[in-house]
Amino acid sequence: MKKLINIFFLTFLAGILVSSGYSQNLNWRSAGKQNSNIIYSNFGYDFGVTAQVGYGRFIQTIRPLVLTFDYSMPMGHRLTDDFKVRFGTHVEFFEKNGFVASGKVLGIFRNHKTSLVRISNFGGEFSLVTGYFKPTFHAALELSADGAVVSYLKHSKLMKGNYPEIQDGWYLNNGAHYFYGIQAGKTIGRSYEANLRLGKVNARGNESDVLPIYFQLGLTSRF
Amino acid sequence: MISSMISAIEISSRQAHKILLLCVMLMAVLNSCETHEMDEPGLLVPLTVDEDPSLPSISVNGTQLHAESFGNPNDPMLVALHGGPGGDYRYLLNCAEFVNDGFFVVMYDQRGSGLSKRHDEKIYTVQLFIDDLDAVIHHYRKDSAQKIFLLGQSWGAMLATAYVNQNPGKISGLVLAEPGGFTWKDTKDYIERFQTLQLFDEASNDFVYLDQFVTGDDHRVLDYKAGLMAAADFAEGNKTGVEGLEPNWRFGAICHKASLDYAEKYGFDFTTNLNQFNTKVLFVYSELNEAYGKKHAEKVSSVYPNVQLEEILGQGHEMTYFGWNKFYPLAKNYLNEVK
Repeated sequence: MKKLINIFFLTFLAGILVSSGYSQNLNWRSAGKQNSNIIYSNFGYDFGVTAQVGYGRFIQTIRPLVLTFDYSMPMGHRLTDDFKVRFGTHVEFFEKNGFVASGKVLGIFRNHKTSLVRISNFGGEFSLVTGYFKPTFHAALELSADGAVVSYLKHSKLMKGNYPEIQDGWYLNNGAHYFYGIQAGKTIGRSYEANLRLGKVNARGNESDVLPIYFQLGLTSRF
Repeated sequence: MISSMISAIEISSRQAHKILLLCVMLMAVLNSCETHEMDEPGLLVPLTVDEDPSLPSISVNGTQLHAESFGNPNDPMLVALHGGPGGDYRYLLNCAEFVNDGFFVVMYDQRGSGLSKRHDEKIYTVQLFIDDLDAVIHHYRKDSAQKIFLLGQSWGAMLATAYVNQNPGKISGLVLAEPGGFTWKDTKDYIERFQTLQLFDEASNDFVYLDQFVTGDDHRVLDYKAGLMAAADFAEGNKTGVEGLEPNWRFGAICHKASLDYAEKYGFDFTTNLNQFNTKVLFVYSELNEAYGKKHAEKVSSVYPNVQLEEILGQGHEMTYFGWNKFYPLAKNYLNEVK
């Protein structure tokens, strides 16, 4: 079990050291030439109706890469009980005549609180994005895996009243999802890009999610 | 350009060292902590009767059910049926009070639910639940002269009706609290009225947000997750008027999902023989369940030839627990009348 924790953190660490990165629809052909910073905002469905804001910084190394950090939260009247923070890297590793293949490695910290439990989770996301990228638009396929590696469960008095023997603590290997989808973007003016992601979500095992899709509309600004 | 690249890499390097330090600290903290797997027995959901021999149980119809009886076994039998499918009888324990009214009260967690033994999802059919109920009645019944009464809430009331529809001559009285419907269409319409996801609602988003934290095949993990999802049932603004978490042991996630899948695939109609059941039925519904209401109650109950329809004021769907002080006198008077 502890080996699993170490593997997760070492993988996570490797991602940070290799680069650091963006997350969503990144047009490698229109970005990073003059502007090395991006900010982005997204709205859509990602395990709930969510809003997301993020920052990314391009770094020109042997291959182009972007370091990113973003924060998202679902809708509802409580603003701080549920959220997801991701940080990591997005690296372009192949490019020929506009055809690009890139990979993302992201570390995730997410929190979920209800009247029964607070779950604080460390996880990771690995993605492969491949498609056609021109300076003014792009369209690509994406495959991703999201693992909820280790969580701290803290149960409420209400939950413990129902089952006093319930155990708070660290729990391993909590869940995983696989994402299959498309993404596309259109550059607007010199500094903006509108983008879209959508696709299907499969949970690990035979269980299906309540709503097994993801959908995101966003705007990216470069400066 | 080269200098800016070097600068960027230097910044990144400094940041990376800070993050490296943070990660090493986190690794050290986690390595020093005790960790668990979510499927370890007893950690997140209680042990079932096949895992804990100290729990009261009966073995009937090829399964082991968590079951208890209260009162004089020779008195008329009242079987309390919980909701779900997937719930358990913990919230119906108040029904043991009917012992004071001269009833022998029997309660059991239905197959795959509560503290009863888990089963593979492929076995669940409506008929299996009816057969289990029949087996429970036969297990406790002293002789053929002993009268049998059924009291069910939600799915429990549907199961009671399904049993009466197949055995109209066996049951001497029936208390039904907000059955979703006696056909799959009526039930589905009702479910859709209270389960519709609201895009900007806290409870709806809580319900789906959990999916990214817990997945898997293991029954214990899925039971735990289903138990957490119950928070949406009593969240502020819920449509069924439920005011809090009612006591329960374990929600049978597989039992619930498999039963709904079965109903979706094959449907059901529990009304085909109800015209033969001329005994008066007590049918109660709650004032605060927006998804139910008088109109649905009248529609669902109309298949019984002789119905006493009652509204329980100031209560929601879980009226048999939170509204016990209003439910009990109604049920008591009715049962004493038909006993």
